[in-house]
Amino acid sequence: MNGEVDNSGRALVVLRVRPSVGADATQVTAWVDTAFTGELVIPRGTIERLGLRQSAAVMAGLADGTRVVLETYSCIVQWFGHERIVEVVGNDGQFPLLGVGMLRDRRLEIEPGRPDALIGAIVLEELDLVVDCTTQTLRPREADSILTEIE
Amino acid sequence: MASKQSTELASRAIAIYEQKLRSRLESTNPDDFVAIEPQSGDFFLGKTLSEAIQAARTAHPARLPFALRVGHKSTVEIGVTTP
Repeated sequence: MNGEVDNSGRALVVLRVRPSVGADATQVTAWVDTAFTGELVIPRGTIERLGLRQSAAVMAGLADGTRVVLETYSCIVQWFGHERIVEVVGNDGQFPLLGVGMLRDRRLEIEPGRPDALIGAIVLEELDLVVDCTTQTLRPREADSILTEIE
Repeated sequence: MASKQSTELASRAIAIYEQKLRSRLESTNPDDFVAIEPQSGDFFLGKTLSEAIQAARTAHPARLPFALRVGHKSTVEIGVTTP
């Protein structure tokens, strides 16, 4: 999953959010915020536009040190090719935030200024692709071939 | 900020947490999220906020739970880094 770094250096990802199974999805651009310990924050006005329903309430610690009760709302987020039910915290902020709760078991890399995507060895292995250095190409691994590694 | 209903929900759930759950959960489930359904007193643990809330909603679909994080003053921190 790829996002972009804007001119202010903020890491942004575009999420597809829907209120329930089968409902239309809406694109929401969220800042990656590793200081946010939940999964997703969305401003209340956007939550109303998305038509999300309240699921619970939580105690939120804010940047100025105060603590406030905030409502949470259920939604479905497209995440790494799967639909995931996420409890979103609604706040009075201006921008959606994607927190560390969404990053569990994921690796986050932020590289400002890079216009293209890097594909690493783990992705290549998952796609079952082999690098052919002599021709500088990628090819599918032959089913009965053995992969070797030097560590 | 929050509705009166949510504020009352918080008060009831926090009272249950302080009286019945805090000492037990802080030794067995530090840093986990716990969603408390105050009417039944049932509570549901999860490694994420979503896991805990969804477990509570599955058990009590018509009632709203209040979620806390075990051993933390706040369930979630928005924009601060200290627990």
